[in-house]
Amino acid sequence: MDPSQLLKGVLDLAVLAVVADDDAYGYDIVRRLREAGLEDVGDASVYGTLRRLFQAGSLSSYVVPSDEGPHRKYYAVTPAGRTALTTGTKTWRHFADVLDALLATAKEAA
Amino acid sequence: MTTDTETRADAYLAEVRRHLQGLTDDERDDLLDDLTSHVHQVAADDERPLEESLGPPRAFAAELLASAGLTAEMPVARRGLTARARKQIDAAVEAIRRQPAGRAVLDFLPELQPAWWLVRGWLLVYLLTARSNSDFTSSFPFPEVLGSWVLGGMAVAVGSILSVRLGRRPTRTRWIWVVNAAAILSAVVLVGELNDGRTIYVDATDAGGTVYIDPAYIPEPGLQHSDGSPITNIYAYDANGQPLDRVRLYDQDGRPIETYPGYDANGLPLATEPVTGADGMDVTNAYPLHQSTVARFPGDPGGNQPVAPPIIVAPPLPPAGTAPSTTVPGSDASPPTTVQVPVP
Repeated sequence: MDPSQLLKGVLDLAVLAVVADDDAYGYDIVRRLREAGLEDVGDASVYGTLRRLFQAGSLSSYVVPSDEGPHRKYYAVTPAGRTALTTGTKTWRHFADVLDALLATAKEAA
Repeated sequence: MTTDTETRADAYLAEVRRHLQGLTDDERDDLLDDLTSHVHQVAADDERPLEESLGPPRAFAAELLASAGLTAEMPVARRGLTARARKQIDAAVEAIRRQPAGRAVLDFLPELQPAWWLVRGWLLVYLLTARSNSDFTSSFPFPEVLGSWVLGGMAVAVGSILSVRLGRRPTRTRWIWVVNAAAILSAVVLVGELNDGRTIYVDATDAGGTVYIDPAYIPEPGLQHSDGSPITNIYAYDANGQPLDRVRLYDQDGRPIETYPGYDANGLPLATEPVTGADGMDVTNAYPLHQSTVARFPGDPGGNQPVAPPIIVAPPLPPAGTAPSTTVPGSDASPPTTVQVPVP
């Protein structure tokens, strides 16, 4: 199974979760996703996802001046984003439970 | 941060920008604004080239567009003919999609795309290697490269791989239509040439039917006039102008001269009544041949008709010896030695 295909479906949720934990800028979000175990996540995918979540109203942004280099654009989860995170979490839990059960049945059969 | 890493980051960003097609300037700036500091930071933190740590700029741009939900399609605003044609095509596709069967076919088409990529490579190699149209079929299914179909097969393999790579590019290449048009042209020529080589079309509209005859069953052209019209039979007359029957004809080496009856002037196939020698062998050079037409289909009114001899008035010749000699001086004009088997 190709992990990058699985990732496509859940990247929204993963990004929301990371930002909900603590406001962050793009580079930091990529780093935190990788540290959490999503080593294969693409920089471009994260930035594209950030932009889409921002346009959808799930994220807001603010600029923080940086000592070294250019300003950084931080992202924060909006109330709409919190709702999306809650709904997404439920969907994911249900999906994971169903698949776990399916795989357990297959294991017994095998 | 050194100047070198900044230069590398800016070059990479410029490449990404180049591949962000089909966006408004605002959208592009918006996407890249965010990325500028990111790419600079990656360049500063990571020793590896950006093409390695972030992937090729083209793939990066495609991933960015896909995850941002921005399609890389052409701008929606089309004008004039293209827009109208597009609208009609869209309407037709929509009509097909309304039918369950049509929808099934349309949904299946994308699955065929990789197959088309492979075939496209093969067709383009054909187009590029053929020096003339006839080359298309002489070495089917592989074109000959430098006279070798093994090299041709390898060229086809390389062409197909390149074609698949082209097809798998995440962003649509603008000149892709040129490639596809060339491949389709090649297919049209190829199909035309294969048809020419495989079937001979016999027009029989007067009889209300058509016949396709595999040329494998048609013998090589036999005797011909200098204008290319076939000689299907030979009628011999003696010096007194009397028609002769069963005249055996041989060439300078003693080989029997044979005509191959193909078709009469009306396009009807001809059959020759076999002649058997005293030794039981078929005699193929006893003229005139007794021929009849062959029915092209059951009840063909033109079939099974004996071929009538031409109406000839051969004036008598003066006695031998008075005619001017046609012997080329110095040439060996003695007749070949052949053993004649009498025809009963």
